[in-house]
Amino acid sequence: MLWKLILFSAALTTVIYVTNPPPYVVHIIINIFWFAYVTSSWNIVGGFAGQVSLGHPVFIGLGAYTSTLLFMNYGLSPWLGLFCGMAAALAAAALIGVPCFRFGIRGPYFAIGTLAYTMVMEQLAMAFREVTGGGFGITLRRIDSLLYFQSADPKVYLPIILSFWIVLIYIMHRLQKFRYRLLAIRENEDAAAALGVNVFRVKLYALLISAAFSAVGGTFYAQYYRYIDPATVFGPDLALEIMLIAIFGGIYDLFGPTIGSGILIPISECLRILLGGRYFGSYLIIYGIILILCVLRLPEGITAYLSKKR
Amino acid sequence: MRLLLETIKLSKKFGGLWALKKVDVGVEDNEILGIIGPNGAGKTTLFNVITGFIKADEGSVFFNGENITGLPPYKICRKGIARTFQLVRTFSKLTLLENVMIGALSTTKDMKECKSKAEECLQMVGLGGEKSLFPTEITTIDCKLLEIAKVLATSAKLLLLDEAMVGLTPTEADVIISTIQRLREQGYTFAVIEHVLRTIRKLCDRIVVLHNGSVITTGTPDEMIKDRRVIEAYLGEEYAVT
Repeated sequence: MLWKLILFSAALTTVIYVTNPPPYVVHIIINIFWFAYVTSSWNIVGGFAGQVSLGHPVFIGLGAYTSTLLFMNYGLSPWLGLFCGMAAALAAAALIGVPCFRFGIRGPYFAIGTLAYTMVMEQLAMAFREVTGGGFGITLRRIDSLLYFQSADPKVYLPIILSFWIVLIYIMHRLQKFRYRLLAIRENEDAAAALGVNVFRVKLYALLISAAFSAVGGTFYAQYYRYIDPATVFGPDLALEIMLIAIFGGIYDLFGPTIGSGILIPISECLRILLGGRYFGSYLIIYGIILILCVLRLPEGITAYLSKKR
Repeated sequence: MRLLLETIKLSKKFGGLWALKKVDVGVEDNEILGIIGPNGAGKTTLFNVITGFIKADEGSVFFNGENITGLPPYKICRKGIARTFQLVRTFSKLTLLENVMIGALSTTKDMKECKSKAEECLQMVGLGGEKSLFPTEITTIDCKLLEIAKVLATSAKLLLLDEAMVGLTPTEADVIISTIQRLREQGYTFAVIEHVLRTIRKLCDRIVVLHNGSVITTGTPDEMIKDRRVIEAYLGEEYAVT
């Protein structure tokens, strides 16, 4: 498993470095793997545990803002800021996870609660403008040094996000017992508890792990785009996009989110290029229609469809 | 005889209604205890309170001499009491083997051991050949057997079965009965909620009759069937001809 992932990533990176495609192609590929990474971490709690969270922008945003603010104000390398972002996301996850899971808030109620959490964080980031720059966002200082998680060559970001993705997939692959506990909880919490599963703790761990990984995604986002603002990293749009990709790809499978991202991101980008300039917004309509058709035909996602065909 | 499980003055009130009123029930080691009573007698509530799904208002539960009152369900399961539910609660997206593995997760070191234990439990109920099917692909009786395999995998000593034979034909019920009897010979103890007289007489060593949240009597199946109070509880006073 680990070797296959490494081999795949190394091969992809080599191909990109050798063929040297136009920057836009590189950008799409990085974007695919960023979403693959973030959605896979969402899937730990949203898919395996079946607790649909719309609160992940909180964790992604905290990752992005924590490392960025530490970098901009104190000159701390975002490589270290990344861990501070993880800590912040863990705290935020505990803050919403403990009460929700303790009092059995799940299903639509959990989704609504976490959505509210996202919206609150977005407003907070807007309101504390002395710190966060408010709606103007923050443009990161350019250093172009890998020590500071930056590079003038965007290709460099590909092996970085691929390594994050490998770590995440491999850890979840190894945590087999944990994964089975999550699946049992998703199917039926009482039945799981009756078989000795500590439902509260397992759900909370799932959210904490998921949040910590998401925060790393946030730091990556900030370093890659060198610009963050509340609407993009804390906004509900991001929550919905993550959820869509996961459901489209298949939430029952370790690789579902990656496959979902690998299909949806290129479709969305291509439609934007083809139609975006001329008919403003029309690409979103077509994108929406494609999504509706897919969900109707493949309600359990692409991976579930493929594994049934086999 | 040593009591494996003992409830002492166990009480639970739902609103103004006593679902359980000072219930004293003992389960002896290695017996098959039947729990019967009309609808709403408190049978399932008793299971729910024992296994920690509902908190008792008063009274206590002892298992193996240890007070387990108020522990959460997962802890009670790990102490050695596992239950099935009235409506089967299989994990429909998992294979039979994976379903049973969930029960074995907390008592095994690694996945290999967990898997082999689950396979063993499936074989004990005769589902060894179906392990890679999904619960949606098997018959009702196999679902019931699967539920038993799941609780076996938890390493529990005492198994509480809530109407494990409901909806089965007499021939199918016999399969479950003989499975339970075979497991008893291997040292397991059972408390079963049952309705069908035929099943109760074949299966149970002893019966506890619940009515309106109280134990009205206890004894062997044949004694109970003739007991005036039992007939009254089920059919009303006018049918209790002596």
